[in-house]
Amino acid sequence: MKDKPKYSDAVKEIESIVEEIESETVDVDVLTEKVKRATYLIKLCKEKLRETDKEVKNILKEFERAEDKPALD
Amino acid sequence: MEAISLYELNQQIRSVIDRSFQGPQLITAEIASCNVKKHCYLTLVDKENETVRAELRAVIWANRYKALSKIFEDAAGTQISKGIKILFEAEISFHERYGLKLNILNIDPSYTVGEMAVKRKEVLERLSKEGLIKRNQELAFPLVPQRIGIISSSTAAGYEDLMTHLVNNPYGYKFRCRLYEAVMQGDNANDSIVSALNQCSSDASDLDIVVIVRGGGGQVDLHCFDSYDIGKSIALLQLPVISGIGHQRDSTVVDEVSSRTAKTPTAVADMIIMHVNEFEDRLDTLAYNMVHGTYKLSTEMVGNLSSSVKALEVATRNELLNNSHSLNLFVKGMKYSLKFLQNKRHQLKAGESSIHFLNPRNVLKRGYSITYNNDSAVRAISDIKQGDSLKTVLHDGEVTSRAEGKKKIRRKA
Repeated sequence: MKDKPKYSDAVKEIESIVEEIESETVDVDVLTEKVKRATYLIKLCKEKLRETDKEVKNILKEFERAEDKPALD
Repeated sequence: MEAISLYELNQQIRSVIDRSFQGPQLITAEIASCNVKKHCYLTLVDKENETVRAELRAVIWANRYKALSKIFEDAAGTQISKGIKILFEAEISFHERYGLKLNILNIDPSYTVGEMAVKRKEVLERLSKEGLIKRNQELAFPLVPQRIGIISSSTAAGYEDLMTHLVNNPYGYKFRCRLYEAVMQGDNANDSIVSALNQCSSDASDLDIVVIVRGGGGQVDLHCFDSYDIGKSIALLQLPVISGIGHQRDSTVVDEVSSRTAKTPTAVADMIIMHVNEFEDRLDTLAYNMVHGTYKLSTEMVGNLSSSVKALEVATRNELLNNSHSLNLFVKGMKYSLKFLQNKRHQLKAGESSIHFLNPRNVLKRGYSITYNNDSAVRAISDIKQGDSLKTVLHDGEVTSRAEGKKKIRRKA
């Protein structure tokens, strides 16, 4: 997830994921992946509102490192 | 013709003028220039379709100017300055030394207001005809107006208000603001603001919105904001514009053309902050809905799984019950087979020893031998006659011999 999406793109993606979950059309196997992705985007947006670009980049790096750990579900 | 001195000429002109105008005159004109050096010196013009057809200088003497200008500004919402049209009362005076001059006694602010309104209307109509009026409003307002271009004067109180409010917003949002310095009143305002807007246009990819602020208390000089040039520049800008030029009165061209308007620079800040907050609300709602939806889904899945497990249990039990009968038979059969196998094994073992017992070699070992006569085994004396070569096989070798005689033995079986 090296991209830095714009607010409008991010929120559109989050909305489509949430819609899938609410309408129960989401495949069980990808559910975890989608929730992870939506959470990442929400966190990224909220941080971006309060930080400068430099700090956002650091958050991105952190998140990527955390992603590599197998313990996350 | 007799020559007269200039002074005498001017005296004559003066008396003609004095006689022609008894007392002050009401006049309308446009201010072409305005200089205040203790007294206020104006150049007035009369234009028809942008062409000057009359021009005259005027003065507002110091003692009158202070009071007059304040009253005028309060009422008209604009200063006595270049570009506005005025209706005034003046004495026409001709002085031998200083020539013809209007001495302004009073100015009617409502005329100016009316004229400004007319001019504004004309400018708006022109912009409308050119399809520019709605342009800026039709631009998509950014979800998060975080990078802000500010057109203002760094010394203006309005700019400070705006910055303070943005920096200290209660939500902790970070805004990146860039100031595009401009003169916000007077003669130079028009070109200065247009230039600032052009700079914003060049920087458009680094900005989300542009904000125009001025004022904050004090007198306002609004008429520069009715400018066609500024209106057009705003209309053609690729970014939405918020105007916060701080007035309570009629809206100006800038207000009409901008994407959004706020009454004061502080109100502009609030508008931006609330807009960002709405976006964050949207994020929070999505997060909540996702958690809720996921919980619901997994509860369902667990529910489905439990009922599936139960169903499986029941089915299995039933199957087993139905088949226990055949299972018993099967088991019985297995037991018999096992016994049978065990017997067979015993037999085999017994057989083994018999075979072992009957093995020729072992027999030979016990002292028996086989005698061959011409390669066929001798079993009875009839197989041999006297003189035959015989071969006798023992367990560990062969003996050759010759039959010397034979004798039959009668056996009673």
